[in-house]
Amino acid sequence: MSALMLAWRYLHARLPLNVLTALTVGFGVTLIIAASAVSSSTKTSVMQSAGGYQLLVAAKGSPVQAVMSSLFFIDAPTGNVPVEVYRQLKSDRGVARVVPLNMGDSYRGFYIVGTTPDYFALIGDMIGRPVQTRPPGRVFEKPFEAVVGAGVAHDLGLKVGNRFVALHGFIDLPADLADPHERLPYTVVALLEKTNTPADKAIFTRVETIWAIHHQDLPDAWDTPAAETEPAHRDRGAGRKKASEITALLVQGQSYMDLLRLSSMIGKSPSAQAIFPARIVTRLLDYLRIGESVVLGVSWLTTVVAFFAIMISMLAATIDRRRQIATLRALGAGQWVIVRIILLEAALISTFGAIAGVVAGRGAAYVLAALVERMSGLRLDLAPIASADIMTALIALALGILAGAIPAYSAYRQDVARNLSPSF
Amino acid sequence: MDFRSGGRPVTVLNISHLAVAAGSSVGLFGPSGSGKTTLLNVITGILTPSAGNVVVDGVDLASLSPGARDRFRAERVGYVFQAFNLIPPLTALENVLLPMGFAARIPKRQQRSRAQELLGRVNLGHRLHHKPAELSHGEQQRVGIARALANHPQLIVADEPTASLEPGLTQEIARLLVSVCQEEHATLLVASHDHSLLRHLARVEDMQVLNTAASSEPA
Repeated sequence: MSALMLAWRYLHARLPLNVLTALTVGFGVTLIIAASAVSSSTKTSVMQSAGGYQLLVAAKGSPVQAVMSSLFFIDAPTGNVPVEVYRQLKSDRGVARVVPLNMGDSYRGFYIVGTTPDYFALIGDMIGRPVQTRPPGRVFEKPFEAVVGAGVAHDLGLKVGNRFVALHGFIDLPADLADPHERLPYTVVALLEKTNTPADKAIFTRVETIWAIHHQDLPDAWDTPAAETEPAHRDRGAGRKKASEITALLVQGQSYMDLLRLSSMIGKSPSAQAIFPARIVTRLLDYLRIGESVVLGVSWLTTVVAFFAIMISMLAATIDRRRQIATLRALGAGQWVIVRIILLEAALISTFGAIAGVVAGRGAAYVLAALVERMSGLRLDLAPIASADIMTALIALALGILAGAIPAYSAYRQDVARNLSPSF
Repeated sequence: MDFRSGGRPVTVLNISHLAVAAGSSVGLFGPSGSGKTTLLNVITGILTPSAGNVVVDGVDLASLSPGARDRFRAERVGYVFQAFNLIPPLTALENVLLPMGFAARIPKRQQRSRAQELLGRVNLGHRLHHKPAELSHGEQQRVGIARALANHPQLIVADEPTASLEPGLTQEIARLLVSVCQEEHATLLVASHDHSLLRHLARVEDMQVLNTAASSEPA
């Protein structure tokens, strides 16, 4: 009978206790693997999303808030920038593309974003394929036509031809507090295919719609025929004024030098700021790294505590089995055979814990990734099994063997003759 | 041969000479504290004498390294314990297989059949897969005897092998122990204070006579 078989039998003899000890190890490994996998893929995904936007022009205020609202649709905008800035950028030869974003309304918690079809081209460039609408949809042509992101369509069950009324603001308030634009409903004209970007969690309409719904006429020299805002014209009345502001602008430059020049130019404006989203996201991720370190630290601490549990459990077993160990020695087992049995037992417990931890950790990471995707539209691409997972499992195994070292040493040093005595 | 023990060394064993012929059966008789168990532990290499020599089957145990003494014990000695000392998570068959893993005497493919055969010889052929907790005391000691014979040892030592058994079982276990040792041509050394066991053996040594350390101790 081999030392491994004997270790296995001893493990089996105290199955409930050993399962609990292994689960403690597994819990620590689960936390480490889930935290590492989600944090790493979130960073990659957020950087990929932010990196697709070269320059963001938004109202002065927190750049982080501007990035969160304009790129990820998860915060209120910092304010509005003059339409004049849009015109200025559009006519600049260093600008390859400028995409307006007009925000202010929501539907059941999802942003309604006024923009142009260029926004979809920008997303298409980011994901490496054109953004498609599901048949029989088409991109909005007139104001109050809505193109619905895949996640929103899924969550709200919207279909082409459905009509809905937007709510002023971004919070789904109770009926008595809400300010619905009841007389100006939207009509769904398309559902977008999934893009795995924040675009999945928003509803898009023509940029003019947002002005129209807030009783504003088109700005001067706006290149959309006024007739196209016809539903809003029905609302024409006293107090209407021309729109002069837009929420944010996404700018693609002809070159990096152009972007730097545009940034400097916008920076001089008293009411607008130019933001390089990748820089903001990098800074944000740096802040988050502190939290990530805390989570990982706590996870490792849990794992280390689990190994103390192995050590205590194995030490108790060694004391409990004094006579059995002495018997094995009397039957001819060398001191190292006894050491091997105890180390193998500790290694088996930590191996099962590590395997359970890797499986549960990956499972937890997939669940968390699905939740993040559901909440933000960001797809977190988790590798099926990362080298970090294997490394974590190996460290757990090594710690387990280390935890068995003290009980093994105690067994190694046992007084065989004394422990063989029936009176002992 | 002299053996001292404890932080403040006390001589517990002082035997001028004891010879046991190969294949014979010898009893060590004496009350508790007379040094029977210590002598068995010295003879099996579990304890090393402070002075003098113990030669078993031509091997001077004091000249062996601790590892070599372990191998010697695995290959040439079988141990029968008072409290049976079976390993609880293992079945009867596995308990008999256990010492075969510590010595390289029985080829791997023959180990199982050897263990089955030994358990058959102690009338436990029908209890191969029972764990110690599922066996009676008598059955446990029979497994212990089969285990002691596993590696064809030249020497079987039995320390109070009937002390934990019901009185009715003493004769049965004593007869079994002697007969299987004879069949295996193994020398049998039994430490006991049970006369009904010792009368089955060819020779009995009184530890109080043999061990001058014990006899010189004040009563």
